Amino acid sequence: MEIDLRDRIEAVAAMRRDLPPGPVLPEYTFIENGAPVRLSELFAAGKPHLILYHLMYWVQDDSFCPSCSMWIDGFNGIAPHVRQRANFVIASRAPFDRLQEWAAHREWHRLRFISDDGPAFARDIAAEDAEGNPDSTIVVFEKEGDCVRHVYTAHPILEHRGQGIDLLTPVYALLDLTPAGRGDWDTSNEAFDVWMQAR
Amino acid sequence: MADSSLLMPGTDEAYRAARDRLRDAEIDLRDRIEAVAAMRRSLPPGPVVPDYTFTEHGNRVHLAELFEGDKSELIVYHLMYWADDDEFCPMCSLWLDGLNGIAPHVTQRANFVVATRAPFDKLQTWATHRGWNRLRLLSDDGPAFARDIDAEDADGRPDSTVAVFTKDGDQVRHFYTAHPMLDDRERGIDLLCPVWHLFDLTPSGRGDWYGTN
Repeated sequence: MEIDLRDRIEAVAAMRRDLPPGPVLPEYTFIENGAPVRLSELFAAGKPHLILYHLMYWVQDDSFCPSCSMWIDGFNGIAPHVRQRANFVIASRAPFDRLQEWAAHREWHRLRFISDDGPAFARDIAAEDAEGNPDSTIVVFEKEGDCVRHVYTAHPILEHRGQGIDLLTPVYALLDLTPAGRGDWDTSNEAFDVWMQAR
Repeated sequence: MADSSLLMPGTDEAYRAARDRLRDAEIDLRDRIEAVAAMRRSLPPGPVVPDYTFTEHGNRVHLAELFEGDKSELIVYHLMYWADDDEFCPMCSLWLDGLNGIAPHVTQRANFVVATRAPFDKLQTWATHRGWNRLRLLSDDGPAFARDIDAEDADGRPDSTVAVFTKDGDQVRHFYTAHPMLDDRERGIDLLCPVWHLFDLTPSGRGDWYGTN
């Protein structure tokens, strides 16, 4: 069954590579260190693909999503490898300085962070609904000449339940190796802080 | 039925239909991942294992001592080290780059350590070089542990290994082992590394790319 599973992971990736081209997109803008950055400027020379993770931020509570942050704890570690083949950024609706503070708190030193300039981008990738409720989102873009096209989007909720982007964190896969499994465990920002203080 | 949260404004019918089929395959894959994990949880008990010893900061540590608090499960990643070249495996190290980041989460539920045949000071130097500051690192005390989990063959050649143990009273049992090689090809432990799954989201995929130090 493990052999079959490995082969199916590769078969699904092959289906994904066969997707027809997505639409050409507007030039969304972001803020990075106080300066505006355009979507098309996030592509380094020779790297036509951009992977963007959209980090959930609740304005009312001024808080970042604990699960998104757990995913990004892993991404931070492996960013130097991913960026050998693809552009990779973390975007959020949070103001850039709040994002930077949170990144420093979580020790994310290997990632590029950008803050959305207004709600248009988050709404178009379904990282925010019409009422402003956030959802975590991973989205892939492709640069084609001067245009940027949409390639792929995924969210944690897949067909009315979670686990839609579990492949992107080793946490559940590691817990899946144990007799107790993942159970109904969820991480929290507080548990992370307790762990780091006890280190 | 297409899920509009997966589409962007201006998407045409061809993309919508293909994305819909892909979504069905992704749902099936997610369910199969969970089904395989359920099969794993149903494995019968493995053998009681000897109380292997390791070195940590100059101290001897027993396998049974790696179970902290009320956590009865231990996940060990065995990092390949080539004694001849005094070198650590670039691919193991790539896996550990990610596992270092998420260790504070995994260890809320299970014990998690990285072991290797390298001397402890070499391991520590390598961990510092890679920025691994969240992992518990151990050096094997002799070849027995690595040989018994197939992290080393009779000629001393290393293989990367993830092994899971459970504590059963005073005894420790083997629960599960996996290696990158699965049925004569690789990718047997890809689920433990997000690099491949991020590449799998892009049109050029993972290709034949390998990590290097």
